[in-house]
Amino acid sequence: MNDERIPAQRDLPPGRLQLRREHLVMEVAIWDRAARRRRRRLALVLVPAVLAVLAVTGFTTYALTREPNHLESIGCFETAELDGNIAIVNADGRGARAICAELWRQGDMGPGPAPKSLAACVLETGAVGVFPSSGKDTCEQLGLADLPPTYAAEAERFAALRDAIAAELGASYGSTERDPKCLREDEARALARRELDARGYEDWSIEVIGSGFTESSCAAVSLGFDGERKVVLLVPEPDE
Amino acid sequence: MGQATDGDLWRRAVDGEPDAFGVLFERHAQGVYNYLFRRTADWALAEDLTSVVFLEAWRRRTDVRLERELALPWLLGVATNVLRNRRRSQWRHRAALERLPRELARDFADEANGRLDDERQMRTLLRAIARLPRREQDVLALCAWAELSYEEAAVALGIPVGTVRSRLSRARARTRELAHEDEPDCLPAVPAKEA
Repeated sequence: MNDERIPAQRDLPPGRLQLRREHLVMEVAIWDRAARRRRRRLALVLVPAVLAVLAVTGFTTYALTREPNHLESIGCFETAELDGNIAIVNADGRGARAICAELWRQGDMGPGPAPKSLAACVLETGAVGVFPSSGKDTCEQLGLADLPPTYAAEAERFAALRDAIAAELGASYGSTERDPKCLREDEARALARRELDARGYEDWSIEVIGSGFTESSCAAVSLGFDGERKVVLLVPEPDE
Repeated sequence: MGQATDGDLWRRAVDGEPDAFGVLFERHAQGVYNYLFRRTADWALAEDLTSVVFLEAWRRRTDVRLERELALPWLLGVATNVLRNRRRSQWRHRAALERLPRELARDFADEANGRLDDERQMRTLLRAIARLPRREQDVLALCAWAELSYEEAAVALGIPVGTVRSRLSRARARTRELAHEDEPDCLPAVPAKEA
């Protein structure tokens, strides 16, 4: 064995090390600020869209047998009333009740105690609503259909689609942060289309929101979904 | 008051304290830098990649649970991945690298010759192990050159300890064979540390 052949360790001089350290600390601070801005923008794009669907359609008539078609989000209701406060959160493939139960546990639904049980229903809009429940018939009493047992598998399948598209586009979604990719519009559309087709969502279309793409330049992309219209929303972001 | 552990610093960094990440950098940058040099035979590239490794570590900070509160094995695992996907990693962090201060102009005049010798020597060694499968090169570099224990190398590569042992054993055997052919031996006399 000839260990003399491996060069000895050398250190970066302290001054250079310090400069690299300062640069790193500055970069991670920039990164965090950018991530917060991205999340805010995403919330501004997505939450009003979902709220509009929930609010504009109204809650007056309900079919008692229907399938949920808003697999991208869930409304966690504060009370067992249709005009109560709602927290709208991204669905992540878990059960709807589990997602809202976590919000209650974390105190995000307000200061009151978490309800002992929750009922998951399908709103007229096709969105999923989860309500505090005092008995078996909460959905029926609200004039809503119970969430069908097929929802769990559909939600999981949809979450996998969403994650796959987000990964392809380098898009942050929910609590998953990704490093953004710089994509041209045709590239972003093609990547999203490929995942939709590969996963059985051929009837979905793709729309670009805003004018962030230009013919010659690329942009980082935020992602949204409109389950009612079956549309994937691509939101090009301006440079930070 | 005792020194904060890597785990403490990591948790503070993840909770939004960039300075804690700066302390981790100061603590482990030299280890990462030397590991990267031994994998690339290029001091300048190793220096830039050291920044990339820490930027990449920050990007993945929420995925990490430090084993036994030690950050270095995990950082060397990140470094190994950065080396494997060097272009992609550098592209991903290009904006950050462009913001490096100008004062970082190369200033190793006093030891330039020594560093050039290092690079020549290291290139020879890398040529010697280039015929090993990449995964065996990784284990060899982590255990024999960066002196990680088998357990630490397992953490770095995300593989079982037994796999580290068997890969290292194969790498050592193969390297000895190569040494009998036309290339120099690349293993140090000091065996990998046991945890």
